[in-house]
Amino acid sequence: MKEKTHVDDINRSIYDFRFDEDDFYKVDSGLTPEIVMQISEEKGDPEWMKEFRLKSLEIFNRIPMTKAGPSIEGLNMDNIVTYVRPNTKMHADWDEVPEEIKETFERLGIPQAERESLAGVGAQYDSELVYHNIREDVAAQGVIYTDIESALHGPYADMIREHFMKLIPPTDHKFAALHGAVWSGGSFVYVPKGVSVEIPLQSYFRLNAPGAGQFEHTLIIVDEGAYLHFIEGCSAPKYNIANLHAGAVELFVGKNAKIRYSTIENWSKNMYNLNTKRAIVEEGGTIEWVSGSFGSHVSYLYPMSILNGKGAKSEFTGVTFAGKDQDLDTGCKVLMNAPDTTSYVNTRSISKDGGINTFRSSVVVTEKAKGAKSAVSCQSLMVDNISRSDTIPVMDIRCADCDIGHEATIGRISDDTVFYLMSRGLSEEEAKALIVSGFADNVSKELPLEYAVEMNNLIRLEMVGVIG
Amino acid sequence: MKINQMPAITWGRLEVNEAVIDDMEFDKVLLPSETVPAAVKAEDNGDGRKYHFSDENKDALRLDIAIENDSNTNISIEVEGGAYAFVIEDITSASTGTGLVETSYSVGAKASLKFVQIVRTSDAVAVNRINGNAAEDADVSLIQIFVDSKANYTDVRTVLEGDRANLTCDTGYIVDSGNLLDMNYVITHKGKASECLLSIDGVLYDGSSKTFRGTIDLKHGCAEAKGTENENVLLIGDTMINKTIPVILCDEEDVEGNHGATIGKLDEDLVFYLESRGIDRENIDRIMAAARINRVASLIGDEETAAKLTKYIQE
Repeated sequence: MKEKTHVDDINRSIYDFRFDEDDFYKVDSGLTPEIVMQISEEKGDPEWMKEFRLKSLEIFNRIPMTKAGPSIEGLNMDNIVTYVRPNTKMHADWDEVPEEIKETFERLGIPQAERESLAGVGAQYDSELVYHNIREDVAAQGVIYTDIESALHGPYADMIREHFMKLIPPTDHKFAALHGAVWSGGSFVYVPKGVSVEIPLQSYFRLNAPGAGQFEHTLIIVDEGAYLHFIEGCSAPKYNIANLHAGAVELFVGKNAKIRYSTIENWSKNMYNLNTKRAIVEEGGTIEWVSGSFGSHVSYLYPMSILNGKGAKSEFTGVTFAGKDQDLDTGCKVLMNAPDTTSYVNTRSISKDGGINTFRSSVVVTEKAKGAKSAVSCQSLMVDNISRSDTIPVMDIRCADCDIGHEATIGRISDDTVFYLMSRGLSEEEAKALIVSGFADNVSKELPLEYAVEMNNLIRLEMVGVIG
Repeated sequence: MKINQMPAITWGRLEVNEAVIDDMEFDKVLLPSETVPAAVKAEDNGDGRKYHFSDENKDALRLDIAIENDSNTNISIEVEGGAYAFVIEDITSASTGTGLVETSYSVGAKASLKFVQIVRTSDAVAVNRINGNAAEDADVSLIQIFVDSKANYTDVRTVLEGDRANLTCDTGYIVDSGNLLDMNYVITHKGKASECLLSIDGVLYDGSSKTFRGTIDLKHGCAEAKGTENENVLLIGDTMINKTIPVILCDEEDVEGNHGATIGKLDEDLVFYLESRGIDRENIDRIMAAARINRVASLIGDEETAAKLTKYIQE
């Protein structure tokens, strides 16, 4: 009989710390027109945005929840506080950020990463950005990297109005409507024509308040021939009550431009992560998604690429790790709506300790997409016999002149491989952690070194329970 | 009415979770025209027919069913432990409207069933349901050919109950312009070391529509089970609707699940080669389409059926 090694639950203390927020401004829990207007007043929205929020709330109340995906019965909107403002303004110098908030980001390694490997950083604490900065040489190229609220009132106001929630309309689904009603924080990036931002920008989202929601909006426009790598990170301490993340990411990739959008998501395991990400790509443009999903109690996350110009490309590289008390429904959507478009999807998922993984995808090739090519590869690993892994891909092809491939496998860690590694001196846990890290290398090799290390640490944390 | 429902649903806007047809009563009982081998016990079974196989029987049970509007044909096949059954079901129609054929099978321990089904209902709509289960060491071979039906809704559900139960399913289809094929396969693994292999090969012509849903459901406890499904679709023409949904549900660690799909037109190099040998494009398409069906037809192992089918494809 095969023997199983029991791996104890892990200590996530490096992410699981918190500070009191007694002096923070909060709206009441729940979702009413009054609360939405209160948020709008607090943020000094222009008139069109106030109307947009109320219209979104009306849509939220009207449309049903999608039937596909994990249960969100544990999420009661009446208990969610949709806006929590820290007791500080946004700063461009870490020394001006209040000590406890600064310490939070120090412990998460953000200022250090900024010094060593980033062109700019935005740090959001609960509902508002507390720090935003961009390197002078990058700004001198005309690159704009700021918070959405400032952009709404500055010289880019028209650009924001033209693009805001145009890719993800509030009618798209219930939580897109919720986002439209109560969004707060997030970043606006504009990269001018022909400018290549050689080192990444990063936004980090920290949700500290118990029972709160975070609804940041990221809007990125990369003009013709330009390039940007944007990194997104997120974490929260664990509470016994539900927290909610319903952010939105809208990416506009111009002609022959390219965006790489990388995410290491490590929300705490009381989080409902109902996030929406979408990119539209013009002729010859490229969108690359790199996604690592490790946290959350429940996730609905399917970055979508709309390939709308001839020769547009998309790549999605993802890894999802579902452990105890996690039901992670992740994947991607691709709409190929122009000739000679190509898409490539490469995902890995790992289920352990009763975790549930669902890979869900759609590849839609319209009649316009002559010469389209698409390949999807998804692999799932079951680490024990109390976990679950499902794959639910859809291909909808409406054009004969195309080449579409799909492959998927579900399996377990080979006993022979574990035995071999143990014979070389590794413990069973170490051997399995090594195998899982290798299994997930499709994502780690696409990340900058520091983030690949963080991702491998997260895998190790899940598999063995210690870092180092 | 909703039919061909997937056990695990996805986004509603893709319109793949089920098929929808007009509400029907299916209250006109239609018995098959049957050729029953001597060793097979046939009897009425409510509004349908039941066939019981109790030992090794090489001769085929032939069932010809010409569906009509609102017709309902109910077939039950029982294969006793250790027995062998060979069943050929030919579903046609000389009328219009929508008819239902429901076939259930139960295959006992160490028994084998070879079940050939041909659906070619011309201007009629076929609603074709197959429900089966296989006991320990049972072996089921399902061979299906779908051609020339205005609409064919096929729903195949099989539970591999017993340890080492095995299902192989080979399906070949051609969907002509203006026609529709909607398939739903749900294979449930309960037995340890149970295996299934779905191989679906087909051709879609301009203006046709096809949906293939294939679900391999690996239940908790089916250790060492293996499920594989593949679909290869050849697209001939300019525009058509092809939907492919290969699903694996896995609630057991020690299993293997695989699915694959390739969808596209003929390889340009192959077309160039064949044209250089003097074959025109129309004939190339016909040859390659026939090859897809012939792969499956060659598995039937019954000359009468194969000849009828080959002739039909050549027409």
